[in-house]
Amino acid sequence: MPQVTADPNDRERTARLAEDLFQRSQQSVFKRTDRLFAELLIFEWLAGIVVALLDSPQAWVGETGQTHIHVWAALLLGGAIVSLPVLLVLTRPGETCTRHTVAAAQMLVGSLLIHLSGGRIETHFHVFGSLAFLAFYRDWRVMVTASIVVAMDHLTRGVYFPKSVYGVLVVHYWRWAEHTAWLLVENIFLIRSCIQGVREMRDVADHQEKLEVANAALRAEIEERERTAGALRESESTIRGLNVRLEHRLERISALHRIKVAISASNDVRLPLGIAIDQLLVQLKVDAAQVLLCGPCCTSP
Amino acid sequence: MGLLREFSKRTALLRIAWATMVVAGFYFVIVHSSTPGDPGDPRNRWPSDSRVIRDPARANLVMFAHPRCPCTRASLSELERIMARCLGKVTAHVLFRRPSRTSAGWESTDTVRAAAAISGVRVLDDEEGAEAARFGAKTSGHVLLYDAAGNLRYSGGITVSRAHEGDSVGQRAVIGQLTEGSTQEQRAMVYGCALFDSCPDPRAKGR
Repeated sequence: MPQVTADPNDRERTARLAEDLFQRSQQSVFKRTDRLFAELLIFEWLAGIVVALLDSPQAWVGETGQTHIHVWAALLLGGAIVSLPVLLVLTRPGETCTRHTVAAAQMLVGSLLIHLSGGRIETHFHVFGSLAFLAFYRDWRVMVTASIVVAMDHLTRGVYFPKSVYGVLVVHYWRWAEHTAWLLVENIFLIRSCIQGVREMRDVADHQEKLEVANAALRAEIEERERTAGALRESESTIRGLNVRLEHRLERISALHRIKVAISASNDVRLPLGIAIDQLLVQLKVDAAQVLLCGPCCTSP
Repeated sequence: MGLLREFSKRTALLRIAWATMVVAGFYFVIVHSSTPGDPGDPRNRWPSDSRVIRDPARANLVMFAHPRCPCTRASLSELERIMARCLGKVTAHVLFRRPSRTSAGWESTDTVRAAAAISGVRVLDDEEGAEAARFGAKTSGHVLLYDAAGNLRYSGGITVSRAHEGDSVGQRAVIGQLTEGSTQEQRAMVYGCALFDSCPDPRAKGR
């Protein structure tokens, strides 16, 4: 197994690369969630218009009908609420200010839907559902922004228009705190979940970076071994060639030796030929020895 | 600090403009829904010329409604709760205004059907709003509660605001009158569409 980040400098470099990887991963989550909320906000806006058109299309003065204010509120106020977050998602996706604006807008859409539905208690579930959706960002600060918007809405309307939010005319001054406390309970779990999610993302990035470093080291070692194997294969091929040439020379020596023996046996006095053959044999033996000692570069073929 | 740094001047102005627009929009909508209708001029005694038959054995509750007013659905929901709690103690009449100039079926709406479905409630047509004029009601959702002797005990709405259901002063007052038998007349604001066009005096038309 290759040694990973044994050097402190390597460890620092790995940590920096892991942080980069984490930042890229987090940005990807932010941008993806931004797009999701832009689509959700537009859907909620259209849904609000449909609800208003179906539930309270017209207000009446005797026999004269006119477009109900709920329709205008759904169209214009709803459009105003979703306009800025959608614009920011399109122009500045993944930025901090974008997701905080999205969080505020999501809670304001909830307030509008509660109003359009006549304060139905079921519509209040939108607030809690929205908080859960905002947790997709894995940024606990976004939840704080959303909760502040809801708390401010309840506080302000609780003081000046209590019946628009609580459904009764006279409410205790701290009623807004009761509503906010419910949000806090949900926030405690969601914020913990977000922090845990970020920690896990960081761990994943750290592990991924370490794996990449290990992979790189492994790849380098494989390449080194491949180079060594190539050199070995080349040496083997050279040796095989030398062997062939040696065998060839040995055959020639053997042939000459047989000729010399044959001449000696015939008692021929043509000494110069016997001497020449002896010299040739000596030369061939020297060549063969050189082939064995030096390789093919030292000898002629 | 990172968040604050990102708030450039241009986007900050955009954000302020957006927040102002949204707050102003909510303010307008809430003020509208909290604005009561015309309280009318309710009669202290059951009108003798009324064609609505008063039940002398118990209290009589009369609600005047516009068949197409979306806010009145909330009033009917509250009336249903009142009737559930005070069944047997009150006879309820819901009078829907029927203008003569409108086309056939104009007054046939879900609101009318919802009223007819409430147990213990009599649904009546109020031709040209004559009865509303006799009783002095001008806003849809206006409830008048008379005791068995025909004396007015409560006048007003039974919702917290336009089209908003929920516990309200009017609803509590009506239930209080029926269950505790208070002898003091009570009034509250009424929220809903106008029963009449802006004519000078609808009572003149009804008489």
